[in-house]
Amino acid sequence: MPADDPDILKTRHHYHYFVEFPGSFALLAPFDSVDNAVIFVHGFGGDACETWAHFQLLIDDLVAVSPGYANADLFFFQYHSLAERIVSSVNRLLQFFDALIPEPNLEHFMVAFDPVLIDPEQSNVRSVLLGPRHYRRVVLVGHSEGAVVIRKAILERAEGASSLLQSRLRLFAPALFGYQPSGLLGTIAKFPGMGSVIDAILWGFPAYQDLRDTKDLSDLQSQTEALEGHLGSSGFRAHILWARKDHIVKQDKYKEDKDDFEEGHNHVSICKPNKDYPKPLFLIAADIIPKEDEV
Amino acid sequence: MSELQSARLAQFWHHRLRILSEPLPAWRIRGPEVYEAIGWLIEGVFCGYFDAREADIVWIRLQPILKLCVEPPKPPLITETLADDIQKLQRSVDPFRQTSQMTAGPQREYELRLFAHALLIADRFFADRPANICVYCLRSLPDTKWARAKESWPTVDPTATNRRLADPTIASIDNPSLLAGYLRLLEHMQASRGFFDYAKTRASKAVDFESYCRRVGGLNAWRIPLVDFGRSRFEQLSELFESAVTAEQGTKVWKSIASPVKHHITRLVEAWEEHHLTESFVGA
Repeated sequence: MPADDPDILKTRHHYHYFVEFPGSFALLAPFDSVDNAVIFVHGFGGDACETWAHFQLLIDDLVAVSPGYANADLFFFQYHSLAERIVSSVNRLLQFFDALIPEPNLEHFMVAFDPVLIDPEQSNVRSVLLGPRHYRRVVLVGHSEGAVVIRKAILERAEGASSLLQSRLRLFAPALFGYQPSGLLGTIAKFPGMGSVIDAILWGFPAYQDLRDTKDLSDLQSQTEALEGHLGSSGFRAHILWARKDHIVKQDKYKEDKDDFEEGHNHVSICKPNKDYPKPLFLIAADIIPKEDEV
Repeated sequence: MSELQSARLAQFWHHRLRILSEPLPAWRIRGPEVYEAIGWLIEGVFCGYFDAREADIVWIRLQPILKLCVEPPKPPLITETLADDIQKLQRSVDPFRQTSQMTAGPQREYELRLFAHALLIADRFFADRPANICVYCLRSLPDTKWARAKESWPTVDPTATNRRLADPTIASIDNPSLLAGYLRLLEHMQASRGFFDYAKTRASKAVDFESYCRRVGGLNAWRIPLVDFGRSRFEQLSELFESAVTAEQGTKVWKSIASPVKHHITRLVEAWEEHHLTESFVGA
């Protein structure tokens, strides 16, 4: 029988890799009761891990936010942002939502313990969720193109009683009004690492200033605004954080969105917290419902 | 008993070790892949992330995988420390229960906080097909084939590279995949730099961080070959990148970005050397 887990791990989120959603992973709060699900959707050329670099570590390391995040399971969604059309990515995201919200489908959280059992005949498959979940609050966090994917997904579920309609939206540098991911260099410009280098140089070239509106994006805006007016659900309103030095996306918002600008950041760095820039952590923590005994 | 502790090791088996028990594609270099994975197991037990008794069970299941490695990899493919550690395991009956483990205290807490994320980053590198194709070409492609490939770099098709970045499953051993892999390598180096920079800020003593770099950073040092001909090839790949950018955007654009790109890559290399290559690779 294994020894007891070291104390430090009893309060840290557990890293769980999804099999059915390759590249996506979860940070599961090590408690039997959790009220919040926070779902992160990266942007064009991004990555479920690197787009949000340090988020995963800081939620447990930064004392100022860790009590809040202790009541949240975090899900980092990976999709083929370079290969597939947005409608396909929306479909993938909706499958991801359905697997998690409002109650996680346990089959995505099962791990076969055979490799660590002396007798593999004892084989059993167990859930890594320490208790049943029914998320009272869903927070959707999108970066760049990820914001478009999120908003289209919500529109897809506008008819009905999906908990997505009541979700909170936190968008970082959303590409709601167009972007220009053209060519190899356009692709690399969105990479978490090389992107910071390329973006800072290329913004002066015409091809990279040509951030076009598309009819599709206009339709997304008009439909979202109309439904917001009709239903008034929080899922149709976003809180946006822009980087002052963003040369990738057009900076505009929907009628009921609220936005703010951050100095000293670019399109790539705006959603990456660190010890000198904890703002993204605090913004999302503000949307998380605290544990009832802390209210 | 901790369910999550068992789940961590079971997950590690399913996502890393089990794959290495199967037939591997030509571009996977089995020896260092297997030894790196065992290195993660060793370090995970050492800091308490994995349970030692369960690791002993996994160790028994690992033996057929180890036998698939015809010859144990030597430096620079693995560090001397890891080679020694694995030899000790092989001589022992209950290897993980008998090896020393970190005592509870600040150093163990420090490493435990970081371990899951360090493993996540390493697992993503392991799973990145274009990046590993590039590693194979840097390490194992015969000189004649490398030279022949290089002759056709000036005509590399940037759209083909873009397709491979978009759909890594189509990447194979060719020039567009090599470039896609190179660009992915740089991103993994960036991820590593970010992680170790963070780890440095969390260390209460410099010696703790240095020890962490030597042991944990050393595990996947082999994936970025920065010694001997591997380094030369790695440096040559910037020419391939230049060819693609010039073909797509023209020389004016390349001239504008060449210097900052070079500076960026230099910083990534320096960081990789600092965080992963602190143990010297004698006998390279």
